[in-house]
Amino acid sequence: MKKYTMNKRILALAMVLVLVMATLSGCGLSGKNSNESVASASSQKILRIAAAFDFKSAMEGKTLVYENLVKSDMAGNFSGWLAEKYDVSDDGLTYTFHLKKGVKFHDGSEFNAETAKISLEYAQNNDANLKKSVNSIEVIDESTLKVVLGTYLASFLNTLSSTSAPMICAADLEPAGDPKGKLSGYIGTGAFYFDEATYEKGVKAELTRFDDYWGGASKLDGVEWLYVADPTAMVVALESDEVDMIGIAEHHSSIPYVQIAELKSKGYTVETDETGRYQVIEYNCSKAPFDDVNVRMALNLAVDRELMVKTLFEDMTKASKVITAPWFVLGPDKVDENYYKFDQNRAKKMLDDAGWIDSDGDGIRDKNGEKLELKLVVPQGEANADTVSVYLQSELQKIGAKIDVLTLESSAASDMKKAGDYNMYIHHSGNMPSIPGGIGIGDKYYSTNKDWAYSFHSAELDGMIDAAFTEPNTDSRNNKIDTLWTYLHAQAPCMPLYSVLKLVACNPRVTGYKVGSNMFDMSNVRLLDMDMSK
Amino acid sequence: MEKMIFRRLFLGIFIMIIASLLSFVLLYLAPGNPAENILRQRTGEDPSYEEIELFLQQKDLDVPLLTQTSEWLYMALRFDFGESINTSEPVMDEFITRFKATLQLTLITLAFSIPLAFFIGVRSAANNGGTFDHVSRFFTLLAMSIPEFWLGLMLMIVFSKTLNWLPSFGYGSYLNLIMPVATLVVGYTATLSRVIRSSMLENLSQDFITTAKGNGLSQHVILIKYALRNSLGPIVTAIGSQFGHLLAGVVVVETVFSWPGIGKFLIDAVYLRDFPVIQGFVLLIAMMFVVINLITDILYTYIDPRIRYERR
Repeated sequence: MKKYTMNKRILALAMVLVLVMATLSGCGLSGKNSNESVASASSQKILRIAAAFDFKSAMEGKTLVYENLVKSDMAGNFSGWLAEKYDVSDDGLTYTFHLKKGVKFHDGSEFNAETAKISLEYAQNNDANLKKSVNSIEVIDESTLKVVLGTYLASFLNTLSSTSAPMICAADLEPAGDPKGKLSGYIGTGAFYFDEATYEKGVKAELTRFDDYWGGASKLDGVEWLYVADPTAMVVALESDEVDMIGIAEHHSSIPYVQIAELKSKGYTVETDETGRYQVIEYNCSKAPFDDVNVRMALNLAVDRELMVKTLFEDMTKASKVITAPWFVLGPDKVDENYYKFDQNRAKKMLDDAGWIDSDGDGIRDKNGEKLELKLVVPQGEANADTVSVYLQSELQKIGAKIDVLTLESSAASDMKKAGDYNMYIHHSGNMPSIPGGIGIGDKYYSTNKDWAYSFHSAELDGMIDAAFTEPNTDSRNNKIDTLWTYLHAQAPCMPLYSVLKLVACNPRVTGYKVGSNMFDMSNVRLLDMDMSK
Repeated sequence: MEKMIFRRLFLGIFIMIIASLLSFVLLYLAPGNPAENILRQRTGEDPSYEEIELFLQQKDLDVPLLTQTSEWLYMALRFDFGESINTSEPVMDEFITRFKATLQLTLITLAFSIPLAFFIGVRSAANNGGTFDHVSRFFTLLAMSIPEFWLGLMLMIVFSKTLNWLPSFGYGSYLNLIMPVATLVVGYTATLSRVIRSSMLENLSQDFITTAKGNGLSQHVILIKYALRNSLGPIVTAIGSQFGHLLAGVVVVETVFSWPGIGKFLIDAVYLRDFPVIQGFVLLIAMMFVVINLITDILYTYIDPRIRYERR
């Protein structure tokens, strides 16, 4: 009897062990740490990047593999890239691209006008703006391509420089060479090539140096893209030397601002770069109280942004003084940066003049029986929005405005925005250097924009936008845009808050970091070097 | 028995389809659409109406709800759940890849937590009111109260950042498993050991235990052969339920340790309104629950002969 019981116990124990072993072996586990291959390969300069998204889901990763005809700098100045140079006709409708010679795709095939044509046709099929505006794409000779637009598109070069229009290899399409096909193989002309065999879904991807890169091979041997979902885990991974760089693979900063000082004090390099993206509070101008420009202006004057940046972000970033970055090529550089200067007395006076007074002494202003009680919608996931909302609540209370903060899942918040069920809505401005701050045709402040139907709109503004963004002459366009910005700032359509930073931290062995042309661009990784002795 | 199995499986098919359709319809009616969410995630900017329309058109999402549902049902019957709107990969491939990782975590967690919970639960019941009982009750309560994300981060800070013994993220090695498993084992062991203890205590107060004691049987035999055997019903139910929940994905642990399981992927799909992924995953998860519940019911008949007789 005793022996039988013992056998049963041994059997049970054996079953548990078999279960564990079967699980481990059946699912392909080894004793080797997945991050170990890189850590141990000390002679190889492999840059280990932590990324909050899987390689194939993140548009940032594509900038390592694919390149474009043109490139823009952070301010929105365009220059040729795979196109050595380009000419634009006086009417702004015909673009002639003179392509670089000697550029190769990762499969060894040549980049030429024919492949550029296929690439642009593919982009046209997948980009609404190009689909609407491009009339024809013509191969003139092996290294010259002509694109004719049906209507002037101010953002044309911007689109060509974005991940919407990568230069792809015909073989990269499925079926091969069909611009309506599916892009499958990640065969680009970039400084690194992607090998599908190294890709593990939701785990990692390996990219190897492309020795035939036209701009000279990178000093790095490769890049390892490691998926790390949690921002705190990313910082831990950097500090435990499991990754070399964090923050570069996300356009929204994945590094908590509060970690910056600590990382710097431990000897890590932390780059904080402005990319021109501002966090702003958008007003619902279709109904009271924000249908009155005096109320909008009063609120813009009532918030001490400098103090906000100092208190909440330890002066890591800059307070926004105008609607969008003035250093953008088309930015509001002529607008006085003291336009919305903090002045609560002036703000109170403006509210008084607008008829909003505290008639019952409860600290909240009212007008015609309506309290100055404002619904601030915060989409979940909007960076720093929770703390910023609380700060605004406290600042605006001082001038007699009560803010009710409503944090919602981003889709629900977006639907409220579209339905106009908000007074204030926190979000970040777009990051198109050439047309910043939502002022282009069809953008946020244009009256046909259904997404921002309750933002500030006027026939006058539409006319100014139309005039500016259909003007192919650069000087004339810049003058019109300056006038437009002056008008828009006087209307105070939104409350600019602060400049959203791109934060990148790396260990001391990584050298030569230079921020890309926008917050998505990782192509400058090719310029990095690593000192493996550190 | 066979009849019961067939009946349950038949009902299970309806449950799976209803769960899947319900999740689809509820999300379809909820705010937001996949084009807007996916394009916003990709570009970091609000897409224009033209971009949204083009995306919906390309992904065949501009057809009415009924057409989408019927097409999905027709495909699902052939075990084809379509492609993810976000990744453009077949939903079945996405599920299989991630399910492997989830299954690993589940089986290893249970392989540790079940024996540990039995040891704590049985010993605690046998020592009711004693030192071991008090200490184990204190620690199990504490373990149940600790949030998984906090415990996970603490383990990471100690074992990765400070001691540099274990990798803080990743997949594919025994070392990668230690912290996620430890995080899960703490909570699951605590919950299960309390179920075992209370079930044991209930049986230890029964007349047949008094009789057994009167007959001079040893404490060990009374505990294991009499009390534990009769306590197994609720314990098996609890294990089955834990097994199901673990298989459905442990989002917090998967997020903290970047474990490529189904939980985090499914939650992301919900945020993005990636309908094919949500429908397919919900159906497959519901199928796992149906199978686990069926196995639990079959086990009942072996554990407790009375249930078998009743069904006959």
